[in-house]
Amino acid sequence: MRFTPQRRDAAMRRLHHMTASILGVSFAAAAVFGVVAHAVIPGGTTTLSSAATNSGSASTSTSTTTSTSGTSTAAKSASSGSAVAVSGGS
Amino acid sequence: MRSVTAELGLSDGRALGTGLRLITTRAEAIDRCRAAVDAVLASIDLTCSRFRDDSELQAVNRAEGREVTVSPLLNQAVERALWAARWTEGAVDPTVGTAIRLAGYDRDFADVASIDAPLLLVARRVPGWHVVQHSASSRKLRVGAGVELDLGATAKALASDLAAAAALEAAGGGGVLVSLGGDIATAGEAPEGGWAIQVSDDSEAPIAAGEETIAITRGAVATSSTTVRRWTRGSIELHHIIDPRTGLPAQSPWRTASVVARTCVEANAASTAAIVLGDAAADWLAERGITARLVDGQGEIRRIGGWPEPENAA
Repeated sequence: MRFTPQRRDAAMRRLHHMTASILGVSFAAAAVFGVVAHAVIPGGTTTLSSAATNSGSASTSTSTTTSTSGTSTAAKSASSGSAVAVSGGS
Repeated sequence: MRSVTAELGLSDGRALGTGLRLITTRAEAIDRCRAAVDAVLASIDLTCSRFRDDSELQAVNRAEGREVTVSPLLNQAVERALWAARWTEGAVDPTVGTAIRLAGYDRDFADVASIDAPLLLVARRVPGWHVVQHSASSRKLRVGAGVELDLGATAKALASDLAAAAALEAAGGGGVLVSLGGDIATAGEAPEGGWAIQVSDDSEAPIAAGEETIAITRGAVATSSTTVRRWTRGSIELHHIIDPRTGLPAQSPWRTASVVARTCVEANAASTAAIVLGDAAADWLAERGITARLVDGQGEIRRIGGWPEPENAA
């Protein structure tokens, strides 16, 4: 059988369609897994008493980073001493 | 967004061998949120701990190369660990388990620090994440005989991500922040001005004026540091961030790396990779558009990817 340009194009279209279908199934499986993984976490154990705190912050410069998923996460400077949590080594 | 003066519900504690802080903008829901967070962390501990003989991870490490079917939670933790390995080109690698055990970190850290017997350490590349055969869709996992997985670099961050999601669901809305040993994840609607977060070498540092502080309205912040979780064996001081190329604690010009990202797993993978990559870290971070703050051994700070200058420096 001769591999004409027309046959090559048709084969490429079928391959592209097949790849898209496989990716679709993979994403669907990942989504289902995410739901299952979320659902199996068992019930709670203890609670602690709550307290109240106020947060206040002012901003100056702002930065934006693009994660691997393509969504943006912005960070801006804030007043020192206004933090509600500390990110550090542990 | 909520008022700056809105009352926040706050709960502190300890989990997974480190400090826990939970904050919700719905103060009345703090007990429900805490219960949800505790449940997530208990599951992570039972699934991913390297220090519990009854953990699922240890069962995998004892499987001697046999294929095992893992729980959905360990499946997710391994998938995230292998994703981090691919993304960081092996700088963060879950097959460092043997290396970190041989370096003396073979039990809960509170007990590690009390042992001072000398160790003989040999530089040797870890087996590498490619030896881990994992199918997320079928939850099948095979780890080569003699290879020990350690999920420490990503499991704690995953715990923060999952705990924040669970707390938000328990609160029924609003916004939540979960800090687990300085690995901070947020979910839902932030308070006005964002979540103000101080960045320090040590997550146990007190919140104080003069300390660099940023605010985020979503996403996560993680910090890796060689200044904490250190121990001494013989006359050698060691720390917990292993360089997969040598199987030894990383020798890095950076003592601390902080990263802002969409998820805490991403942030922690990047901050750990920055320590391991050393001199190459700044370019690696910049090329990927990652917002990061690096602190070298002398305390000099390098801000990358638009990490904001502190207010008093403007």
